[in-house]
Parts: sequence; C-alpha cells; structure tokens
Amino acid sequence: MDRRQYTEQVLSSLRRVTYDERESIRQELDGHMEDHMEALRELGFDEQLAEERTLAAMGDPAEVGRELNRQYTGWGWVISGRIAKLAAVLLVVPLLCSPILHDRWMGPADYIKNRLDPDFSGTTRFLEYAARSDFSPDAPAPDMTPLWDGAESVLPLDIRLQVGNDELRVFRVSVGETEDWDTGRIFLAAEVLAVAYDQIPFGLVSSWVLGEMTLASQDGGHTAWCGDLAGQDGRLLRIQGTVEIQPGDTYVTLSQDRFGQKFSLRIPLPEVAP
Amino acid sequence: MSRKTKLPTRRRTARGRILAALVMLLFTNQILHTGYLLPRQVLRETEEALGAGHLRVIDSRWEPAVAETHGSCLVYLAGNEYVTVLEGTYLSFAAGWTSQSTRTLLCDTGESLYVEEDFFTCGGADGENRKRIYYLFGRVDDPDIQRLEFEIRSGEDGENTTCLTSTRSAWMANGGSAYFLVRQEFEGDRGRLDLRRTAAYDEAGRIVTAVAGGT
Repeated sequence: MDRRQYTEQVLSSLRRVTYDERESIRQELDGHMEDHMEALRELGFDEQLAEERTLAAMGDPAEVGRELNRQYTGWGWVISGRIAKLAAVLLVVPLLCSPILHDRWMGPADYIKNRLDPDFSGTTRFLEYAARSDFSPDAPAPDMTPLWDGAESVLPLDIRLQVGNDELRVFRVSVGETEDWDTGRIFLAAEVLAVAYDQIPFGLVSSWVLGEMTLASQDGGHTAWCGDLAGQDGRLLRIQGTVEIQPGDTYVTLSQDRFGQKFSLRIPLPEVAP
Repeated sequence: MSRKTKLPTRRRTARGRILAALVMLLFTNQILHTGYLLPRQVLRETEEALGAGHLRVIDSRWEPAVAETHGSCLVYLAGNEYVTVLEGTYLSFAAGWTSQSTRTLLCDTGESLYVEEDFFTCGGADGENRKRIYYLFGRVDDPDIQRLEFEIRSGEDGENTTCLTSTRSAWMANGGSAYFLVRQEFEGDRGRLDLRRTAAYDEAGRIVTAVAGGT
C-alpha cells in the first residue's frame, strides 16, 4: 500500500463529511505523512522504507477513518455556515448597487473630509445645481446667492452644536455686498456656511430639522432661509444661508424650532474695512 | 518538521462565516444604508431623516396590488406628536427592503384635523391593467369629530369626483389621537388624482371643520 492508497482507504470510511471537509482531510493526511517521511529521510532512511515506516506509524486506515467519522457530527453547524456564506454572497449585490441607489451621495473620502475639515469639497456638481431651483441645468436660478467667493471679509469658525443625535458645525461666515437677482438692488449681506451630520459616522442626519433653518440679522429685521444646498446626501448636509445685514452688525442668528428641537445660535461677523 | 495548522472544526468554520456575514451586513446597513433585511429598518431610516423622534407604528398592511409590480409591498402608517408618516416599503433583490414612497404630514400646528394623500402606481409593465392605489391618511385631534368625507378629483382634467367616507369606528387610537387610513383603487395611471376637500362632521352631522386639499 502506498500513501495515496492509504489516504483513499481512510476517506472511503468517511460517511458524514462534506466535499470541502473531505478535501481538507485529504490535504491534512498528505501533509502529515509527508512531514513524517521528511523527518525519516533526514535520519537517512530511503524513500521506500520511509514510506513503509510512515504508513505503519499512521495506523490502520479503517480505524483512522472511523475515528474521524466520529468527530464530524452536528449538521447544524454545516447548515448555519452555508446559510451565512450565502448571505454574505447575497449582500454583495446591494453593496455593488449602492452607488447607483445613492448616486448623489458624496464619496467616502469627501464625506470624511467634510466631517473633519469642512470646505464643501467634492460638491462641485451640487453647487451648480444649487444655483437652480429644481436641479435642472435649464431652470431659472432662485434669488439665493451660491457659494460666495467674492466676499469682502471672511471669518473661519468652528462653532458646534448638538441637535438631537446630530451635530451642526458652522465653519465660515462672510460679509460683503451682493445683488438681489430679481430687483438688482445692491445690499450688505452675511453668508453662513455649515455642515450637519449624525454623531455616528455615516449615520443619517435629520434633514427636516437641520436642512431648513432661519438666519436672521442682528435686529431681526431681515430673515432668510438657511439650509441644505444639495439636498441629496442623507448623511451630511451642506448648509448655506445669506441674509441682509446693517453696517455695524456684529452677529447674525441661526435658529430652529421644530419637532421639539429648539435652538438659537449667535454667529459672530467679521469686521468689514470701511 | 511538524505541522502547525489544525483542521478547522465545523463549529469554527461556521462561526467564521457567520461573523463575516454579520460584518458585511453591518457595513451594508449602517454605512451604505441599503440591504435591509426587515421593512421596519426602512421606517427607522425615515425616522432618522425626519429627526422628529421615535415613530410608533399605528397600522401596517400588505399591498398585494403593488406587489404585482414591485414584489412584496408593506405599507406602514406611523406617527408621533409631531408627524404622521405613510411609508411604502418593498423587497428588492438589489437593495433588500427599501422605500418606495414616503409621505410626511406635519401635525404640530394645533389643528383639529390633519390629512394627506399618496398613491402607488402598479400593474403591467407594458401599460396594460395599470392602476393607482390611492391612500388618504392623517390624524384627528378633536374628539367631537366622528366622520370624515373626502372629495377626490380624478380623470384627464379632473372631471370625475369620488366621495369617500371614514367613521371613527375605523380609526386607530394611539397616544391620545385618532389616526385614519383610507384606501381606494383607481383604474389607469394617467390624469389627475388629488384630494379636493375634506369635511369633518360631529355625531349630529354638523360640520366641524373643512380642509381644502391636504393639510
């Protein structure tokens, strides 16, 4: 009997193993016998004698097979393992389809970037939509000023507020002149930029609470909508608001009172050179 | 040379696969927000997006008509003191349980009656036998209101009027309010379909309040 025949005799005794388990046992037996033979070769035994001694040391193949059979019991683990394997395979489908289902969500890198150091990066495609009323390239733009590169005075901020299980983070305020797109009137305005996200990374943020807030001037005489620019990513809101202010104003107020979530956040304004 | 590897036991193999599946499930659900195994996870997602707090499930029903197009469809009526939500969920091979439609009704303005509408289009993909499953849902906060009458406009130019009635005996009490969910099927998937007027009556038949369209 050679090694191959020995292995086949052992495997023929196995009645309660799966195909994968049978192959694992085959490899284990082959490897064990090879290790034993290698050790004997190093002691000076020739190939044939090493094989004979190894097979003798392994024992009766039928008995080895019976012992292995006794150890492979419990089909419950086999079934549960196969179900888990199938589930993992099936979960690949939604995983691959996720970019299609959430095609307007920013990528993971941009999400993390905007959460740690917000600057609206990765949002170029949304900013062009933000200037439109219904996200159509041909729709007329609303009277909302988009991201404001021409501001006269900019103040970086890091004001954070816990709202429910979300966090609102105001990271920039700018002051300067802007134009009403309907009337052409030039007026002094303050623009606030913020992000909002769930406390748990990649969690969903409350867009109904933090996606629509009110921005008010210091004396409350002017108010404006302040909310999510893009409205497409449920995990991170990119918030912008612009409100008319008076010369000499030192702050604007961002507020909300909805669903029992009430806050009024005072945001300092940068000084504007006369 | 001795072998250091051991044959994996059935228990160890199964545990490894179960752990891998759970990690994938956690990643898919919590990071990608897809692949939900239960329809209630869709409702919880809506709850997070609203930020109005926990939504109690007031009623849930299978919608077999929609199932012809989308497979299993489960409609939830849920709400709390601030909002009432009608959530249509269906089972998709690509995404697990997912939302087909979410209609939110704000109920924190101090009114005695809140009503909203929504519909699901279903039927043959080739345009044959298409229909719309129309839902009216809402909340009644006035204990004097015993009956609601809805006027629904349909047809190419809204020339058809359908009247539906719902009485308090069919409403669902929850948290001190009474919720209603009314269902009606309309043939075809074209033309207008909207709520023109809702009138609320007391036990004596006197009108308590009326709302044009939804609130």
